[in-house]
Amino acid sequence: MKLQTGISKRKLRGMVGQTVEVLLEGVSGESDLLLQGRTEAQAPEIDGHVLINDCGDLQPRAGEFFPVEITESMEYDLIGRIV
Amino acid sequence: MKGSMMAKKLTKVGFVSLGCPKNLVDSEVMLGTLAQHGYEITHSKQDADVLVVNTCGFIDSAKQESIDTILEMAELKSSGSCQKLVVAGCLAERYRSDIIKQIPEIDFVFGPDELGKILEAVRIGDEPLPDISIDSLYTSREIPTIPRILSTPGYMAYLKISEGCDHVCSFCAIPGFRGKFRSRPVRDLVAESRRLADQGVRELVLVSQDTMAYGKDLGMEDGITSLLRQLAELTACIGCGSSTATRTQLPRISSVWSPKKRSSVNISTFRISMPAAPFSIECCEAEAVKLMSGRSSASANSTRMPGFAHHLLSGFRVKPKKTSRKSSPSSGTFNSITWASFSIRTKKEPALISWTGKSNAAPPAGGGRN
Repeated sequence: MKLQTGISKRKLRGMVGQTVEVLLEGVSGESDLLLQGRTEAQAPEIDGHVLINDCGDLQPRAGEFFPVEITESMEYDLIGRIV
Repeated sequence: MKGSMMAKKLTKVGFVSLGCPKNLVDSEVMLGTLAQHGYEITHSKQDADVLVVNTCGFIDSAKQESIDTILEMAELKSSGSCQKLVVAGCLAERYRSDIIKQIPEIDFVFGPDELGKILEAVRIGDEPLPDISIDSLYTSREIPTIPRILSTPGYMAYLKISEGCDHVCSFCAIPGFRGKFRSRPVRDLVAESRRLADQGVRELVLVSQDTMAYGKDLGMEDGITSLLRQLAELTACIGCGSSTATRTQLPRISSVWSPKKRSSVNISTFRISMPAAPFSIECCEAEAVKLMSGRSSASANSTRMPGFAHHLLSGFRVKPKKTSRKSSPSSGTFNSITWASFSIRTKKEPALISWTGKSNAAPPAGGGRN
C-alpha cells in the first residue's frame, strides 16, 4: 500500500498542467466548498477524484462533462479548475 | 377505476444491496422486475411488507456485514411491518443451508443465477405467480427485455458484461458461487447500453469478474476489443442522431474493471477513440503466479488485443530469496507480495494517461480462500 501510494502520487503529479475531461459528480464529499468529478481513468468508488476549486462563472450540473485543468495533485486525488 | 386501484394494496418491498457493483446490477434487475409486476419499492425498512437482502459472500468482513444486515432485518419481523424476509446473492448461494438453519426468520433464499425467483420470494398470500425465469446473464425465456431500476446517480450506470470466472486463484472463492465464466451476448449489451443512454446515462462503467476474458466463451477472438468498438459506435450514433449533441454529451465508456480489487491492481480504463488504453494485468512473475495458483493473463491479453504492446509500469515482487542478487534494492524490504500494474499501449506515441489504480491490498495471509 505504501509503495503504491508513492507510485500513485508520482503519476498524478505528472498530470499537473494537463487539461482532462471530467464527469462532474456534484459537491465534494471532502468539503462543501469543492466540486468533485472523475476522469475516464477514475472508476467510481474505487479510484480517486478530481476536486474542482474554481468553476469561473459557470453553474455546472452533476452528470455533465467539463474540461478541467489540473493544478495540483495529491496521493490519490487531483485538483483542478474548469477551463 | 379509482375504487379498484384503492382496493388493491400494493405490497411494499424494501431492498438492501450489499457488496460489489455486479451484485448491485443484479439488485437493479430484481427491483425492475418487482416494479414491473406491481410491487412498490420502499426506502423505509419499517414500512416494508417484505425485506430483501442481496448479500455478498466474498471476504470475511463482507460476510459479517451480510449476516448483520440479515439479523437487523429479521428484527423488523417483530418490531416493524415486515412479514417476509428474503435473502439473495452470493452468501445465499454459498451458505444456503447454513443460513436457513441458523436464522429461522428467513423465509426464502435464492442465488444469483435464479433472479426470476424474486417474484416468488416476495409473494405474500397465494396470488398467481408469474412464470418468469431470469438468470445471472439477464436472459429470460419469457420476457425479451429485462427491466432495470438504476440505483446509481442518473448520469452513470454499471454494465455487467459477463458472469463467473474460470481462474482458480487460491485466494478467491468467487468461482465457487458465481460459477464458470460466461459472457452476455454483444447484442444484449448494445441494446441495454442504448436503453441506458436513452434514459440519460452519460457514462457506462463495465463490470464483470474477468473483464478481459469477455467473449472467449462465445468464440470471439477479440471479445473485449470488439465489444468496446461496438459500444463506441453506439455512442457515436447517439451523438450523430441528436442535433444538439456535442462531444461531451456522448456517453463515455469508462473504467473497465474487474472485481478482484482487493487482491490485485485490476482497475483499468479503455477509451476506444483514443490511440492508447491502460489496462491492468493481475500478475506476471512466475513465482507469484505459482503462489496464487493462478495463471498469468499477460499473454492471453496480448493475443486478445491485437496491435497492442505491453508497457511495464511497475513490477510484481515477492520477498527475494537470500541467494538472489538481482532484485532491486527496495524489494528486499517486502514481506508480502505487492502487486503489479501494467498499461497496454499502442505502438504509436501514447496519448492517454497511464493510470495506476490505488487498490493494491495483498491477499490474505496463508493463501487461504476467503
